[in-house]
Amino acid sequence: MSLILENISKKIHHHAILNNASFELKEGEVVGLVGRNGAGKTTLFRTISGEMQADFGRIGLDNKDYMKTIAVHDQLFYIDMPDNWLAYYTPKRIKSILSVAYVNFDSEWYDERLNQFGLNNNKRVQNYSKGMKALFTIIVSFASRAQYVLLDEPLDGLDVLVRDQVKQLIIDRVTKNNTTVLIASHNLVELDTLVDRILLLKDGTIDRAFAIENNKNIKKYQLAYDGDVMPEFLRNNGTIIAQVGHIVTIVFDNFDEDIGIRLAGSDFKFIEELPISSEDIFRASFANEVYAWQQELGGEQ
Amino acid sequence: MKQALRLYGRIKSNQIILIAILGVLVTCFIGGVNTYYGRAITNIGSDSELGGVLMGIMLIAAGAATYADQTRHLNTWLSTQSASRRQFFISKVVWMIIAPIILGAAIDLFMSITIRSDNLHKVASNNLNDGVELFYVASVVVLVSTIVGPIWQKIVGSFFALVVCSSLSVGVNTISIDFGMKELVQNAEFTTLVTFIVALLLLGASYYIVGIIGIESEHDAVRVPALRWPVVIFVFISTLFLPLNESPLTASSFVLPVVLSVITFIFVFKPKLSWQK
Repeated sequence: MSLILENISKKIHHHAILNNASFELKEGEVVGLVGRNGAGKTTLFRTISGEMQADFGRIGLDNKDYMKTIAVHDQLFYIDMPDNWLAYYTPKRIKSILSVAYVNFDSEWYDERLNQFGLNNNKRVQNYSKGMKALFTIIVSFASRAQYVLLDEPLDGLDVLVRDQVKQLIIDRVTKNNTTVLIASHNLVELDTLVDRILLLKDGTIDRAFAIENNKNIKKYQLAYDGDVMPEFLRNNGTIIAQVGHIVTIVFDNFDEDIGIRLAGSDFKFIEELPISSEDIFRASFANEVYAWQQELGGEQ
Repeated sequence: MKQALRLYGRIKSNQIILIAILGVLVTCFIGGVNTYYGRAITNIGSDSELGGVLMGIMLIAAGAATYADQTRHLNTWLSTQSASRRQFFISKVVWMIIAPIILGAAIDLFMSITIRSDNLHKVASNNLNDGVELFYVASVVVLVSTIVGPIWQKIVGSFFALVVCSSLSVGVNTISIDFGMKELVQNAEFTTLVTFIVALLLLGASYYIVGIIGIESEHDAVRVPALRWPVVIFVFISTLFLPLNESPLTASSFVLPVVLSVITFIFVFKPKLSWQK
């Protein structure tokens, strides 16, 4: 079972938001979706879920055309965040509505989680705090028992304890029901602890898909260079994340033997390889923008 | 289709019940006033104006409840569900237009049976005419509300379209009588049938449009790009030619049409106005 997106393109008011975006989600996978602000993450979610109609491309769910086979739409759960209809109803009423919308809606699990997290069953969701709303949305998403759950910034604005609860809830559902989860987030540190792989949305398309463990060609170094001027090849081949005097932290997007040899040369007083994170890969993917921004800052100074 | 009817019915069940209660309360109020004052503010059981009044009030309440779907982001979520946009459209027509009309007629018939059962045929006939007329009014509002995005523009647009449609039907009647079709125009069954067919055609147009628009156009004045210019032209022509029934065309006749069509143009095309040289 899988959800396959093939060349999804979408223009809004003549502006291309998605441009041939393609990827596949397999059963039981937790996948992160990252991209800069306005990259089109929410538009992608809205297009997958059917809120928006793609201008071009195909969405396949278990060998069926998802857009044309509306009977399988209860296999996918997505709700806009933070503005959605849930806010105007009580959890009790939402359960009665979702029991009709989703054939396999798990009422028992839903009630148990509401009790577990102390969410008032008779209070309108709009009266909940931001954290409670986020928690409630996660509960609703997984109670639907949809095979595919799309979560847009589920950890946004939550305190550490609620974040842990949400993460635990996601892991629990994926483990027990083999649910596939696609999470859009700017919080790459949190994503690292939650996802199997990350999709990077850039220029309206999936620019790269990566898993931290499998990225042998992306390396992060801290090094100190000799002399007054930083060796040019560093800027040409990597993204400088931090620089204090002669000490530079740099990510090489395409680390190869040549770079390794040059780093081992006499230009550097010391070099140390650091563990790589998704944030580093994200920065490396936007090397040009980061460089231009750094140049601009340098020019101003 | 069954899923769309069930789901929308479940979501709106509270509001549908409230609308029905409103109908009953209005009936009690009218009945009470009639009994207390000894004269009818609306006849029950004789000429039966009650059905039309009830239908009208309940349709207004249902319309408000349907507009709330947009502010509550319900339409957005419904488009992700196991029923198509068009199936949900039919569900809305059934629950929010047909159901109030039937309920209004049912209450009126019930009241008529309890008060004056000898007049039942006339009551039923009046209810049929009122029901079809209101069905037509609702279909105009539905078409405008489907094409137009923001709620306040839907309301203004619906009022404008209803004024145009009523002027148009007066014009058609006048022309028909001029052409010697007086008997046909004054035949209640015939006009009811024509009104019903026109209403179905308008709903058919809305049904088609609903299937081709996404939520991204929800804030656009005209949600279908191909209809932007036709809407501006419609506003101009309808404001220019409808007063022709009463007065001849003069230079001043152009003022209102130009002003209204320019305002419509600005809302539809949102031209970027800048004072910078």
